[in-house]
Amino acid sequence: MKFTYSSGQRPLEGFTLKRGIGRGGFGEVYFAVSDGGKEVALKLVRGDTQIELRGVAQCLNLKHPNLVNLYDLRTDNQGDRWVVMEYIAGEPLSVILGRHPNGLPRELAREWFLGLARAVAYLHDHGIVHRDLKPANIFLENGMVKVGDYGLSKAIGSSQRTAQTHSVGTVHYMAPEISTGNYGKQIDTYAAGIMLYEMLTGRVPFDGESSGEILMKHLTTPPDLSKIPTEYLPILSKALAKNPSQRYASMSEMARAVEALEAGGAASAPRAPSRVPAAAPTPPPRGAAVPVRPPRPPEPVLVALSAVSRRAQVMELCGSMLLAVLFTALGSILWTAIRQPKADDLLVEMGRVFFPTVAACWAILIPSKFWTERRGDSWLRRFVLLGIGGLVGVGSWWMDGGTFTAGGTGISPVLHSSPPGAAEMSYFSFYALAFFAMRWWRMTARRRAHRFCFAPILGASFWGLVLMLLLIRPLTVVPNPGLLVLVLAMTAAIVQLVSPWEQPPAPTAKRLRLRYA
Amino acid sequence: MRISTWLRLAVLGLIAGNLAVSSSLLTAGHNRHRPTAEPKKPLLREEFTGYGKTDFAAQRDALKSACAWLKNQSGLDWSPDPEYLLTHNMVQFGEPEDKKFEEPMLEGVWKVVKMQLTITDDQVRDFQKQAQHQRMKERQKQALLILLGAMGLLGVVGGYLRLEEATKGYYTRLLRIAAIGILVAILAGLCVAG
Repeated sequence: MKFTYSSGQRPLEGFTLKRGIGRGGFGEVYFAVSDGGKEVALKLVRGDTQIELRGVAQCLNLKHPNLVNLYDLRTDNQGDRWVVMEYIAGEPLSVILGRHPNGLPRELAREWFLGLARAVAYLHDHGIVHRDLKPANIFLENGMVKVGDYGLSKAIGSSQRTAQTHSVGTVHYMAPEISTGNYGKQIDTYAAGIMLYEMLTGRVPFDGESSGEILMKHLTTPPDLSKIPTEYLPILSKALAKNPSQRYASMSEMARAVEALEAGGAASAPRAPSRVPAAAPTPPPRGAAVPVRPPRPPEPVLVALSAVSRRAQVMELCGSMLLAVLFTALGSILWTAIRQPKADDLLVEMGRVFFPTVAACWAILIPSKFWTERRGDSWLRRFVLLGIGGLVGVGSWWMDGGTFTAGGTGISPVLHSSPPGAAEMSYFSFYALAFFAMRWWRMTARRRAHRFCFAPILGASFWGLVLMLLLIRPLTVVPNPGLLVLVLAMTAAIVQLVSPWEQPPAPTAKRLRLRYA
Repeated sequence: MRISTWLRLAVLGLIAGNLAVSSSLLTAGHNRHRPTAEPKKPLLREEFTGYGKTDFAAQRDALKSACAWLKNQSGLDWSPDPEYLLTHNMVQFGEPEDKKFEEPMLEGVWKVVKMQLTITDDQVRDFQKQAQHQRMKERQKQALLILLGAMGLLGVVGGYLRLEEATKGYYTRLLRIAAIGILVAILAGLCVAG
């Protein structure tokens, strides 16, 4: 991603850019530090400045804990407009959804939604329609949901489409009435409904090859609610109604409906948005008929599903791969110490375990890190692993001194008594089938049941033995074939040890018990 | 048929193919190791002639010729040294003879030794093992260099990203220069070592 400005530049007086953090149709966003040391996000407004700035100006004085704060609107020496806003270090919902293609746990989806709904309801109360609600604009920081990107915000009154031909919002979250040009705050309700759908199922209700196809589905096709949890059915069918008048009248109403799900149907007012009350609750005035219970501060959103950016994934992968080398070296030394080979064979024997194990560990760690598990892709993963395992096998054969030269004169035919290609084939097949037989990616999953488990090691050893007996044993060209089984067992242990692990959340029922204990 | 079906068939084919090869090799191995009453015949016999001023020098010359011949004939990168041939009782020397040469370079009396090189099946297998061992050593050295390079790259990339993240971009330029410097140093080190 190429940004206009690089780290250290000061295009706007009083701020030093540190790095670019985002780029979109309406401009570039930088992380910057003010001369006084305040960390902020600076948005360089590009494209249709008027639309952008009109929305920003209306939102400058809004204050809500679930909204990204806008501090100021500035102009630099070149006449470019900059929006100074709160810096959010957390990841957007889009990134988290990308890693959870089957949807978020219901409780988490509910919490995300309520945070979003509070912010949007606040905007509506102040006469602002967000118009670009989408997962990329929802952030999570310190357990709080933050709605950002006011780039397209617009006063509710100006509901008629202006002369500009810009589309409003993002096509997957675009309400049907936007195409007619006559819309109001219900478009946010619709977009919030789409996001709730996506959080629950992992996919948007309307998808297609082109923007036109998606828009057409928004206009004509009823959403497929078959995958939605039953309790959410009435909420989503109402929120995603084609006719805006059939949707919830306000975001608060929709939030109450979602909140009521936990309270067993007892609808209550949406929680106050702040985490900590701004001031101590004042006693009710004398003569007040009904004492108002102070609003319950919202609980921080569950951080059960941690957000790991692509950058963090690369960092983790580098660490895991380096650790894999370290653990493999330790394992190889231990094995050599136990086996006690001849002095001149010591390093070679150690290398025969070390190098294939490192290769196998890396071959499992790299694809597992960047390929999020999806339901039903087990076979595809196995076949990909089959190919990767085959490559590891060929590498292992090469490391074991395999050679393609065959034939010749004199004693050569005796030296190459095995059928041509038999050794290569054996190594290839051994690793390919061993990689195919097991679900190696489960051992590296961040949310696996246990940090370390012996079952995969036993499984790898079992498959290694079976394959060794079937494929390797008859070939005299594989010295000490038992080493191949050791490589598989060590790989199963090491990939678990070096892969990051987070304790999976307790089942909902248990968590509720704990909460009310 | 769906592609997944084809892929499953491919896996089955892989297993079946390997099983067929394994069974044929097992049968061949079984036949080879069947005990026979006949003594083991030597696989190969070759005679070499050595020349030298002394008996010992003539024998060494014959041994060297045998080693060179083996290197050419074996098709391996490895060849046994004279000590290997002696310790494994692969050679038999004849009686040394005196031979007078009149050519300018070889003028004088030279010792001539006939040497019989005999190679059995087991010895050929040992050649194979030694050659493989030699290749393993060389390849492991190469792999170690590649691995060290990869580890250096991982360390630099991981370290740069972590530090850049921790410092929030305050020292981006400095970190980039340091990272490039370290990478160049690693590359240079590997080139020197390689």
